[in-house]
Amino acid sequence: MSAATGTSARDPLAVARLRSLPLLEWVRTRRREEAALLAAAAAAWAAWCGVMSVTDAAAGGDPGADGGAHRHPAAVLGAPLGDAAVPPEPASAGAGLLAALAMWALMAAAMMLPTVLPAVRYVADVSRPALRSPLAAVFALAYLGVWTAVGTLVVGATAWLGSADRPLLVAAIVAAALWELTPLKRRALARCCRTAPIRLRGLAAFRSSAAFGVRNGAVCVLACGPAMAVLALAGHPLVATVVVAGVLMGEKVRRHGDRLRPWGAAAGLVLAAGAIVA
Amino acid sequence: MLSSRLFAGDDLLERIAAGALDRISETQNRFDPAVAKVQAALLLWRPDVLPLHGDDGEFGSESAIAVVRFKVEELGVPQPIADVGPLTVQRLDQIAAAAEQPGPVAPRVRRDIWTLQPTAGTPWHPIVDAYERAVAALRDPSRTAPARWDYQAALHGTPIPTGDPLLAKCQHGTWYFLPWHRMYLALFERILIDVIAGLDEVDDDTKATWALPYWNYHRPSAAFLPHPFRSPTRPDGGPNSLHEPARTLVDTLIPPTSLDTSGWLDRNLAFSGAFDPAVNVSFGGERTPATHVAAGGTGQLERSPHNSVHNAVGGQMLDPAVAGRDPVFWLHHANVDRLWEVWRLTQGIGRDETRMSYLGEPFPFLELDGGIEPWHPSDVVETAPLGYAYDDLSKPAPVFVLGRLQPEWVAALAGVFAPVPVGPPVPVGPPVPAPPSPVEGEVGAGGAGPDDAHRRVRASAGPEPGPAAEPMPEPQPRRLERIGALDRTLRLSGGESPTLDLPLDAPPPVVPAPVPPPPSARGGGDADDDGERFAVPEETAADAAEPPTRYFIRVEHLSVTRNSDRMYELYLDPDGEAPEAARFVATLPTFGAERADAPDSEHGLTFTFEITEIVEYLIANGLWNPSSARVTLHLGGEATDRSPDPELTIGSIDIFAG
Repeated sequence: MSAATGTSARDPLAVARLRSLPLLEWVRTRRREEAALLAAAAAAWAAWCGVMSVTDAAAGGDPGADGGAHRHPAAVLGAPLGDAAVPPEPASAGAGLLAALAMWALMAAAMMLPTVLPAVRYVADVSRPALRSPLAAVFALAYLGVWTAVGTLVVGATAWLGSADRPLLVAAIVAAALWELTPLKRRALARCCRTAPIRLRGLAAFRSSAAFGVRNGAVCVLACGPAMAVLALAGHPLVATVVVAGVLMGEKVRRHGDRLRPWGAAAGLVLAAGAIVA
Repeated sequence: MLSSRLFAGDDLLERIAAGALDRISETQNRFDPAVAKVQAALLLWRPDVLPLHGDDGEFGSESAIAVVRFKVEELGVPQPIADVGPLTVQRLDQIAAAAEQPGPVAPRVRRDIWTLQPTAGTPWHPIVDAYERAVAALRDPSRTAPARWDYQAALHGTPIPTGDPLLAKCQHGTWYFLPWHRMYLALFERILIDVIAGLDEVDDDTKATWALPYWNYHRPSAAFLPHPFRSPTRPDGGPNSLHEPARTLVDTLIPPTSLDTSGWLDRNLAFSGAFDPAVNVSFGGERTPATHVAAGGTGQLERSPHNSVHNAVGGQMLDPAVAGRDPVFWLHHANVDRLWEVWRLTQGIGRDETRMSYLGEPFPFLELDGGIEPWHPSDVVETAPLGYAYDDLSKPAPVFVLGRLQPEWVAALAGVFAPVPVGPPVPVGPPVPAPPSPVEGEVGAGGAGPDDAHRRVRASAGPEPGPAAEPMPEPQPRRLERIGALDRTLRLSGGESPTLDLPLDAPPPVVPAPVPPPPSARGGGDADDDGERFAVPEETAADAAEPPTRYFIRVEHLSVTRNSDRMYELYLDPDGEAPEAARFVATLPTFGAERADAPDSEHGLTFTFEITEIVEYLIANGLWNPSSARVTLHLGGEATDRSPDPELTIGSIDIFAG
C-alpha cells in the first residue's frame, strides 16, 4: 500500500466525500451481488405475472373470479381451487409438463432467491474481487438447480395423481402448515444459515460454490419445500403466493426468523379454509 | 399521619401533628411518653443537642433549649416558643423516617481464590470453606430446583434434550455470551448466599460477606488448579465436594498458550460486530440470534482465555453440556466476568453494546422464590446493581508480546518456580487506558508494560472509570480481501503438527470501506438496525492512528470427531526451519465443538485473529514472504489415555488483508 493512499484514507475531505456517497454507489461497491440477485427475483416475479395474465386471457376467464388463483398453463397443475372444470389437453401433455416445470422454476427463483441473500454475501466476501459475481452466480444456479430437481418430482407426482381433488388439496395444505411447527422445520431453518468453505483459486472455487449452493438448496427444500409444493398444487393463487413468499423470506433472513413459523402455519390454515369454502 | 416508626401511633404526637392545641413543654405533657421520642428524634437531628440528660423522658430546660435551637436552625423561626408544636413534630418525623431507611448495601466483593487460599498447608479460608459446604449442600438429592447442583449445571447444558425451555440455554459464540453468563453467575451466587445463610458451620461474618471467588490464572504462580480443588478430602478429613477426579489439569501449569489475552488486551475492538467473515473480530462476540448455533461469532475474550481454559482443565469442563457440574467452572467464569469489567474500564470505555436487540433479549430463569423471571442484558451491564464487585480490576500482564512468550512464563514452563503465595491486591487509583499498540519493537508493543500490569483497582460500590480514562478511537472501516488460503480440507488425527504454506496475493490498497447511507436514505431503520454499522465520525476516522494494512488469519469450519483437552496452537512460522523463530498467534480451543457440530448446527467452529502487529514486525525485520505465509499448527501436550490426540478437520485457513 502506498503512503499516498494511506494519507488520503485519513483525509477528512476524503472521508466526507465517502460519507456523502449516494445509495447507488454503496450498492454498486458493496452489495452488487445482492442487487443482481434481487433483480433476478424481480424479473422472475414479472415473468410469472405476465404468464399468468396471458393464460388467464387465453382461458377467457375472469382473473378475479377464482379468488386469486391463476390458471396454470400446465394441465397437470390445473388450479383446483378455481377451475377444476377446465379440462386438460391430452395432446399437449408433454409440453404442459415442461411448462409446469418452467413455472415451478420461475416461482422458485421469484420466491426463494431473496432468501439466500446472506449466503450470497458470504460467497462474495470470501472470493477474490474478479470472481465475486461469477461465484455468486454459480451458487445461485446450483441452489435453483436443487429446487428445479425437486420441481420435477412435484410436477411428476401431480401428473400421476391427476387433477387433485379438494379433500386431498386441503389435506396437503394442512400438512404443510403443520410442518412449520415441527422440530425438523426449525432445524432446517438453522441449517439454512450455515456456510461451507469456499475455495480461493481455480476450478475448486467454482466447485465449492456449487457444492455450497446444492447444500443450501437441499436444506432450504427441507424447510420450505412443503409450502412451495402445496402452492403449486393450489395453482399459485396470487395473494397466497405473495404471503407465503414473505413468510418464508422472513423465516430465513430475519433475526429470530423461526418465530415466524406459527404465522406461516396460520397462513397455511387460512389457505386451507379458503380451499374448503371456495 | 406520621410516617416514622418512632412517632407513628403515638396519640399525643399524632394529635399535635394534626393541628390540635396540645403541646409538649415544661408545663404541658412534661412527662408524657412522647417526650422521649421527641428527644430521640432531636438526637437524630444533632447528636450533641442534649449533652447532659439525653432522651431521659422529661421535658426540662435542656429539652426546651434544644427545641428552640431546632426551630431556629431547622424551621427558620426567628423567635420561637419553647414547646413542641405541629411543625416541629412533622419535621422531626421526617428526620426520624429518613434515619430509619436502610443505608446502601455494600456490594459483596468477589476475591481471587489464590489470594484467599495461597498455600495448601493452611486451613481453608472461611470463604472457600463456605463454598465447599454450599456445593455439598446443593448436591443433596432432596433439594428442589433451583437450589440443586444438577439443576444449576443443567441451566448451562444437558447431555440430552430435556424439553425444559429453561435448561441448556448457555450462550456461546454470540454477543450474548458475556451477559448471559453474568446473569447465570449472579443467580448462582444468590442461591449460594441463601444456602450458606442456613449453614450452622459458617460464621456470621462470612455469611454477611460471602461472594463467589474467582480464579485469576494470569500470573505464573496462580496458573495452577487452586489448592482446594485438588484433594479428595477437606482439611478436616471429610469428603471434598470441590474435587473432580475427571479433570486432566491436576497439579501442572496451565499451558500459557491457553491464557493468551493478545486477542483483546489493548486492542481496539468493538463489543460486537455483524457477521462478516472478513472482520468479525470483536471483544464480546458476533451479533446473532440467541441460539447455540452461531456461525463462528466467538468473541476474543470468549475464545481465550474462556474456551482455552475450559480445554486446559479438561474432564467435564471440556463439554458445555456438563461443564457446570465442575465446581471450578464457577470460579473460571467469575474470572471471565471480571475480565469483562477490566475491558469496560480500559479499552472498552464507551463501547457497551447499546442496540435494543442486545439489551432487550429476554433470558428467563427460575428464581429462588419459584417464580420465572426474564433477565435481560440491560439488567447486567453494571455489576453494582447485582450486588457484587471485584477486589482487583487491573489488566492482566500479557502472556505473549508479538507472538513471543514472556520471560516469566518461559521460566514457569521450565519449572523454575513452584506455586507461591499471592499477595493481596493493592489499590493505587483509577485505571488509565493504554494507547493503541504501537509497533516499535517487542518491548511494550501489543500489550501493557510492566507498570501497567501491576496497576490494580479496588472496586467499592461499583467501579467507575477515572476521569483520565478516554475512549479509544473507533477502528477505521476497511475493505478487507481474502489474499491467501489453504485451499483444501485439513484432517488431523494422529497428533501431527503440520507446517502449511498459504500462497498469498498482494494485499489490496487501503481504501476505507464505503460508508452506507444513513438509515433515512435507505428508507427506514432505527438505532436497533441489525445491519452493518460502518459510519464513523469524521474526526475519529481522521485521527485514528491505524496501521496502513491490517492482516487477519481465520480458521474456519473446524469440526471435531474426537475431543481432547489438548489444543492446537497456531503459529506464523516465517522460516520453517527454525522453530524458535515461529510467532504464536492463537490457540484453537475445541470447547463446545460437539455442540457446534450438533444436528441443529453442523457448522463447526470458526476463529479469526488479527496478526497485523506480527506481520509488520516480520516485514520490518525482513522475515515476511509476501507471496507465501507459512503457518504451523502445533499440538500441545503429551498424548495419554486421558488426553488423546484430538481428531478434527479444518475446512479452511484463510488470510485476509486490507
